Amino acid sequence: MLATDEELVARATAGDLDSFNQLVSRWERPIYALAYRTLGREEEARDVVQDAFLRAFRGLKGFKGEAKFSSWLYRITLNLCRDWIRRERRAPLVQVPDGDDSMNLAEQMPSPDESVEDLVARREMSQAVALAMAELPEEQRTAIMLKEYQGLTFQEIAELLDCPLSTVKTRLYQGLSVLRRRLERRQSEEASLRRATWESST
Amino acid sequence: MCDKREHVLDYLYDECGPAERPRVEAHLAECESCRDELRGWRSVRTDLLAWGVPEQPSVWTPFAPPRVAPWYRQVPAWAMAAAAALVFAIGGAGGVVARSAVATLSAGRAASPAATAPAMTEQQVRDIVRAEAQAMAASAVQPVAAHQVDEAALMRRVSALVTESEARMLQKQGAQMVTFYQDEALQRTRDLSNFQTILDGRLKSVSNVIAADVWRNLRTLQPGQPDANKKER
Repeated sequence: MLATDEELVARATAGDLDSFNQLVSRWERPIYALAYRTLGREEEARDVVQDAFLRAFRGLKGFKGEAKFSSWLYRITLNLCRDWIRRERRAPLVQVPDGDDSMNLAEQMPSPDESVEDLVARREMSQAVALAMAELPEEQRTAIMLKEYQGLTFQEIAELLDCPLSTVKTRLYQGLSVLRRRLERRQSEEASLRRATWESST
Repeated sequence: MCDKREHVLDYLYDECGPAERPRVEAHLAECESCRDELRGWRSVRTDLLAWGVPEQPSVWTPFAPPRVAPWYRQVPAWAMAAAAALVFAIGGAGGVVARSAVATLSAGRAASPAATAPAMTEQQVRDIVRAEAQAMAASAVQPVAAHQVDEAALMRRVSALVTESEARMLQKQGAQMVTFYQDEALQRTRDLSNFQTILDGRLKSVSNVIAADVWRNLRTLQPGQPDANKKER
């Protein structure tokens, strides 16, 4: 039977290093996703992940289990990301995926059901979402990431960010509304462009 | 702007309670603004799914399991100290036993007239004899008078042993002196022989030179032979 986070934390606190290794392997991917989406840079996200787990290991004795271990990890990660942004004075970056030519895309197709056109559309949408998220205020962006990608409840987000529940909801629906407007505008612009291209070709 | 936004948001993320859910659905049926908001948010959530994260190898180097310490590091310090003390005590006891055995053996050899044991001092011999006497006294219950008689006999025996030991010492020293003088005389004879040989060689060569000179002079003094010096002059 798979050990819970609380059990692994208890064993790791008692000195069982393998239990901490299990916690890392369980949470490394979500933590990396949060760091990557916050910073928009792969290399820096990797550094943040490593630093976050090292800090968590050092702080295990101080972790009282009042919050979930994952929430505690998310808080450490977000603090490290904020520190990095403040130190480097750099805004989140939107990375363009490598290999956008059709040959590379064909090689990277995740499933035979997805056509190259679908893959291109998905990549364009990914970039558009990343760009729209990067333009959001940090509070709204963080609330959306924790809710949409990390799957936390409103209450968990409120505890993690140390703010009232209603504030979390306000940030979330404001952010979603802004994203909606921007993504709809982009879609209408693309539709106009396609129509213009089609009309010029005919 | 409708004030039921938060409830619609709970409904969107399925975080409203079972009692609240029908109420939100009833409100959505009436409120066009909230229906539109909900539709837009759902669309955004679908778009958000497109934002993927690149695959990455793990950045974590797992902690190595702790190394098992060798057995001698697992033994507590007090146990190691106790073991060391035990070994020391056994060694000390062994030394005492060996020393007493050697002393007994030496005493046995000293009692034998034909023994060739190394010479001992008078005090050592006295100690050995006294130890023997004490051992005998301990093993046999004897009257006080008999014990005193034995003491006098032992003292005589001690004197005899001491005399023998001194005689043996003198004999050994005499033998060493004789050997030393013999070696010295032999070496001196060899040196003299070598010296004689060298002298003989030198004398022989000198006498040959002298004889040659005499012979040459004699030849020059014979009549009818021209004088070389005069010739040159």
